[in-house]
Amino acid sequence: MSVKMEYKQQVDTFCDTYNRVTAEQLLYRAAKETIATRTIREEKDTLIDFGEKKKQRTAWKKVLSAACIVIICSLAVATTALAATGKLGELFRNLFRDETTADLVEEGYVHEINLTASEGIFRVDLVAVAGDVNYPKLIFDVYVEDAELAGNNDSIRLYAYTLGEKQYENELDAYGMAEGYGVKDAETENLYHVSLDGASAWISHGEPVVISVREIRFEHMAQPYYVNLEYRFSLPQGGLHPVTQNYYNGIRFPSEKRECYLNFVEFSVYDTGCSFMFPYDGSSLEGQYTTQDGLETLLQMQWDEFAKDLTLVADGESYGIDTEKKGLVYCDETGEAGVPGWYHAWVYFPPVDDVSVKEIYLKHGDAGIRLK
Amino acid sequence: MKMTETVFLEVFEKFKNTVYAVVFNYVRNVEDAADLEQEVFLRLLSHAPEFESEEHMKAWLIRVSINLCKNHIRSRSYLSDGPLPEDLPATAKEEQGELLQWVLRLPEKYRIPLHLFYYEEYSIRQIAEVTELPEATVKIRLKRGREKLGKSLRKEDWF
Repeated sequence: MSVKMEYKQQVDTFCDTYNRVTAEQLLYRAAKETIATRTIREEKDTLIDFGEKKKQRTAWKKVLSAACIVIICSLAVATTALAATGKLGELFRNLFRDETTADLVEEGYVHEINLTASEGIFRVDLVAVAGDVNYPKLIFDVYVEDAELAGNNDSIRLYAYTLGEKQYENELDAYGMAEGYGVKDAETENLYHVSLDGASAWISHGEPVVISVREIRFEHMAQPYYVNLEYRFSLPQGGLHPVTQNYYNGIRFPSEKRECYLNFVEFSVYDTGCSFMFPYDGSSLEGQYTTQDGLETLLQMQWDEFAKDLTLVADGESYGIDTEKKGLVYCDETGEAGVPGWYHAWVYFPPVDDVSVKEIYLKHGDAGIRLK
Repeated sequence: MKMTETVFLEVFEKFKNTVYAVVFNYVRNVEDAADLEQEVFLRLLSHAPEFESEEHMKAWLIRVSINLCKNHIRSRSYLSDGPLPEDLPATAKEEQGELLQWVLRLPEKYRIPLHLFYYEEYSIRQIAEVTELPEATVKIRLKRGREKLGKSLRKEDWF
């Protein structure tokens, strides 16, 4: 007998002896798990504890960071030099034209960091973090020791990783950089102020974070300067303005168009975010595309069609979605982005003061649910 | 090929040993192998893409088996690369399975390509595809794996 035949025979004998799994067992388990999943989704009250949902939510946000889906840039205009955080409110109000953050700074939601790093012609100070839990804004002062370069450029862009220490050390390739815009100080010729939105998943939750500035681009220069300037710190818990997070544990959202479940709603001072889940596996869409690109295009089209009819109604005032900020992510069998076989989609509405308003509804056409 | 209950029963009967043998080769533990086999077939029920052919489905099952095993052994690497576990069933250790026993004693990087080559009769290209390794790497691993087995078994036809 050939070795191949001998090996095959031995493996078959072994499998026949020890492989006790049956098809019926699997079909039963599959049916049971489907029922269990449905029960959790259709149950309005909490079956999954808050800690677990929070973990899921954080994981989702980390996936977003990895995919570089949301890069929000802050705009800036030139004014006077502002180094002390006492003047940061003024900086946001006058320089960045950001009244919301200016108000937060004046209410005390700002943390001085004051870390300095230098490389070549650059000295970059990480001055402070301000904002709310969902939008930690990193403020940098960039000094350029090149009079001609500074003289020729009124604005710069700065690119940086803003990650948890573990992600920075071990999984850097999986993440993208955030982009910040800044402009020259009106009085100090070689100074630029930059505001950059960091990743809330790590910065806002007290984890040790690494901010690593890697690129500085000048307005009138084709080639960027590549640097490696690192800052490590942990923001104290509660240092940023809180965000109200209401979890709905995947309750069925009343829509005639699609089977859809509401995950959570977040009331930030910058916007109102709503997270939904849609089944893909087992739905009529399943199997229509076998390539990742095809699948994403299909899901995006379905989501666009659904999202355009969503409105947020607060005390009778109706708000449409921010069409620039909606998105989705499909969760494959790894389960990293949520529930495997589902896709997770989100939209943003303008901010609503969930404390002072009496009634808030999330509507899809005429149907909807009351959030408050 | 649409996955109905009837199709699943046929597929399971046909490929249960394919999946079990791959996962056992990785984890070398009967209980873990059974759990992983279940996971693989549950994925087939819930996540399987549309298959062009039976061969396509078999390759998918092997690929998913390998991925799940890799995830599993990350936290329990001793099972995959350490000495042969003491609680390994007698069939795999002695008498009826001398050859299998020696394959299982090889490092993981040799035994998986060898298993696919001899049991599934996969070509080097097919092994490279399911293991996501370059063909040259598979070729070297097969050669070295066979050399190691040859030394253990003193069987010239392994070369």
